[in-house]
Amino acid sequence: MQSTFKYIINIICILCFVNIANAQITSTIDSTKAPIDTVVKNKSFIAKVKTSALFANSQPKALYVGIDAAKLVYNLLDSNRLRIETYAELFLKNKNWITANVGFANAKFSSTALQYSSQSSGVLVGYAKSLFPFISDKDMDNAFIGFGYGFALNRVGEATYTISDIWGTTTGITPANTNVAHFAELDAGFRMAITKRFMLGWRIQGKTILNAKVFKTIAPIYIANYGAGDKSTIFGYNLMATWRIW
Amino acid sequence: MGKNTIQYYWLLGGIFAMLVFSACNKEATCLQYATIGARVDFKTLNDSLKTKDTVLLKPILLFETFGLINDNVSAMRFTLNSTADSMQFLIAADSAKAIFDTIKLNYTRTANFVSKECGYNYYYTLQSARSSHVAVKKIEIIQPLISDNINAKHLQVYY
Repeated sequence: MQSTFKYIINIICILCFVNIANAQITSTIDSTKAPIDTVVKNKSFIAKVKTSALFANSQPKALYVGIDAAKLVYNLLDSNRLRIETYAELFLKNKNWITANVGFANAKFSSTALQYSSQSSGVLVGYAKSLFPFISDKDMDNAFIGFGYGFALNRVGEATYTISDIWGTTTGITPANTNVAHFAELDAGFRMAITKRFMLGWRIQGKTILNAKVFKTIAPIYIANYGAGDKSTIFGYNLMATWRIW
Repeated sequence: MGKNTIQYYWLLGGIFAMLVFSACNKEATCLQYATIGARVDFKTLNDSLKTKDTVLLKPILLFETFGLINDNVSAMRFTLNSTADSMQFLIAADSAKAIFDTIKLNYTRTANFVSKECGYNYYYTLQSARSSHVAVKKIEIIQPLISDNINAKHLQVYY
């Protein structure tokens, strides 16, 4: 079921990006006020228009800070997990920007077989690139792709387990432990300026833990900036609300 | 890029992705838990002390509150007592004849993490195996570690 959802998400996003690309070309052509028949007949003209000085690399330098609004919603829906992810994004010229995420997570898990809690805090640094040219200095709307590396310091508390079988029931406690998770991510998404200083954006991420062997035993319930600690590869989602401070 | 086009795709993709990911974040259930069992193989020890695999017609293992019986097998599998570090049971090569021997096992238990959903189970390490000698001639530990390796042979009982 979960993998089916992931495939659907991937397909939807691919279709979105393809259609956005078409919309971008149309927009570019319109703004040149070139006759449509000329554009259609002359492919080299289209290439020339797309790379013209009107649209190239006009993204301004800027610094945004923000928070993942989706996590705030998830926190309300799931009382066992508190997750906070904050962003700092430094926009460079040439449609690029670098990101730094700082995240925190407190989580507890309780079932008939196991009860434990974990805390995690971590940093993720990344690079992102807009897929399409910006129309003007004020235009911050775009689709983007990026990648990043993150690490998180995790503390797994004492776990109380219960084993029940034909012989009866036994309980035990495993000691607390601390570990570090390293992970990498690829992401893609879309962002849009709501006001002059406020932007909303969403992105989906594919993430993988680079040192999964550490988590052969009990894993942190939730790793900051990553997600469920017992999965070595996961998909994630962010709803980014960011404010321009510079 | 036209603002309307952006808003359309932003809303379509963003809201759909949020709904899907929130739906996918449901806790999983335990699907992989398996009780760890020890395998006992039956052998015949002839007068020249040579052994061979032996198919027993209707072997039976009798524990405190339950029994295991099977037909025409050369091995059986049973779960160790997870609430203690030793156990004993009765064994007979043929339940119809009911010639029982008592087998006593001493072992240690190690909690083994299965998954967040399933919790823990026990792995066992056999320390000793002793038997009475009504019909059983010898008992031997082949593989002391009893884990999730279902191909491992742990004990051999010689008749």
